[in-house]
Amino acid sequence: MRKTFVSHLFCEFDRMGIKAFRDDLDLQRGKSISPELIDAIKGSRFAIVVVSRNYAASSWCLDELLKIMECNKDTIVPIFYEVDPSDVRRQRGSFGEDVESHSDKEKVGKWKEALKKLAAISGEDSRNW
Amino acid sequence: MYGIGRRDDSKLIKKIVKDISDKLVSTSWDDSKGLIGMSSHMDFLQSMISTVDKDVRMLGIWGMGRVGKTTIAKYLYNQLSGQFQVHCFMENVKEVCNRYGVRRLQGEFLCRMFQERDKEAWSSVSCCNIIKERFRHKMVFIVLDDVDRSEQLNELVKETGWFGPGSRIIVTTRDRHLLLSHGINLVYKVKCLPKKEALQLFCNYAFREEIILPHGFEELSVQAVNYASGLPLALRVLGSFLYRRSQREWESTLARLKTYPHSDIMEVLRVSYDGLDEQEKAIFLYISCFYNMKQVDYVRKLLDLCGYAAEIGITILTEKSLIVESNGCVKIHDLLEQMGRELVRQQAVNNPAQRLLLWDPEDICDLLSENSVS
Repeated sequence: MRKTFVSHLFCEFDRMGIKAFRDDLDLQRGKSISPELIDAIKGSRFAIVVVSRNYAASSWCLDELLKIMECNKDTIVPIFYEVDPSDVRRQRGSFGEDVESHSDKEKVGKWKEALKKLAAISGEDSRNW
Repeated sequence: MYGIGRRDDSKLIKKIVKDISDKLVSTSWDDSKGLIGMSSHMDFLQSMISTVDKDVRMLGIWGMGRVGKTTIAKYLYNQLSGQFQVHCFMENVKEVCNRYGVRRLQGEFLCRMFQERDKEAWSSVSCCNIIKERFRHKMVFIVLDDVDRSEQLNELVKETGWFGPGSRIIVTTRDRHLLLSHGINLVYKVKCLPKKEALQLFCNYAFREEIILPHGFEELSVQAVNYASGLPLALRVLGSFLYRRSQREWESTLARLKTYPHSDIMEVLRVSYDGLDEQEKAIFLYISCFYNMKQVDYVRKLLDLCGYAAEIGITILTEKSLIVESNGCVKIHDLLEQMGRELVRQQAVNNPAQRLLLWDPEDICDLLSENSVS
């Protein structure tokens, strides 16, 4: 579902003549965030973070989020896709379990902080549409 | 269920993209892309401008031509003017004053301060008294951009006592002495862009939407930036010129610049001119000699009459950052204007009659009196 959503989103940006960089297509997802992706994050004027139900299960996504929070503090737009923003903020329910399931506890702390900040930014909630 | 979900998604998607699109427009910075290096300027300027203390403060922004003084002033204005009761941004003070005189400058100033359209309204009254009287109790924010004579300051913002507590007045100029002689001791010096920011600005023009620097161009970009000496205009012009060119074209351009040991800015700008075709060159020369600050439609009409394809020519020159269109006028940066005029002069240094265009009144008078022109 998230994939379809993101590709439609991407098409719409394209249609409006706005160049968007897609992390899941343009880059091979590896274990760590590539320098290429970091450059893309730094070079972008906005970062749209699509948070789906399974978002927190991916350490890759969470690491990417850390980078984004570091670089584009003022220009992040969170999209909560089929997930309750308050679950993201407080890391409750299955979303919370996913975050805790990662073994690197130091990182988990950082991720939780980033998720809390992300959920505080005004964005869109797909359930309202 | 799936179908319904999809339909809702498409509305959501439209909304997201629309929001971003609107934000992109509102953060676009008239003719300069992005605001590179602005945060370091703001670190210094914000405390100077801060309205915590309710004194009236005049501040100078000083630096060489094209280094970015106006951009900084505009940024400050856009960020802060909302906090003031009355505000105005007077661009090109030098130009307006030279062309139309100081009274017109005052009239223009009052129109903006009172947000009135009718420019004639102030033509028959003593503007100086109005300026002196009406803003005493108002917290104002005034930017006077590109001031070159004391007279201009005296007629608009002579004393801090003319303005209410907390007022801030910013003057941009190339002439530091002018600031000091007006008693403006708060002076921010704008330096050329440091290497990193210079590279970023250059890349914005040389690669446009590319988020990642293409392979093989990293070293070349650094070289190009060195030639432009951190001057934003030169970075923009050189970047625009190299946009979409091959690696070999980059190399030969840079090799040419290498033959000028002192990284002469004129040579950097000249590269872009030389890359134009004959039509575009001629249009550029016309604009630099006659049409700076003229209405685009008017310029287009005149150029068409001269047999040039004005529409496309102006577009190309704009794309190459050689001219900018703003408020319906064609504008050319003074360094480029100077270059254009010099190019015309060099066509025949000792014989003005053989030049494509004549712009110097002295040359024209000489020729007319010799009666050698038809």
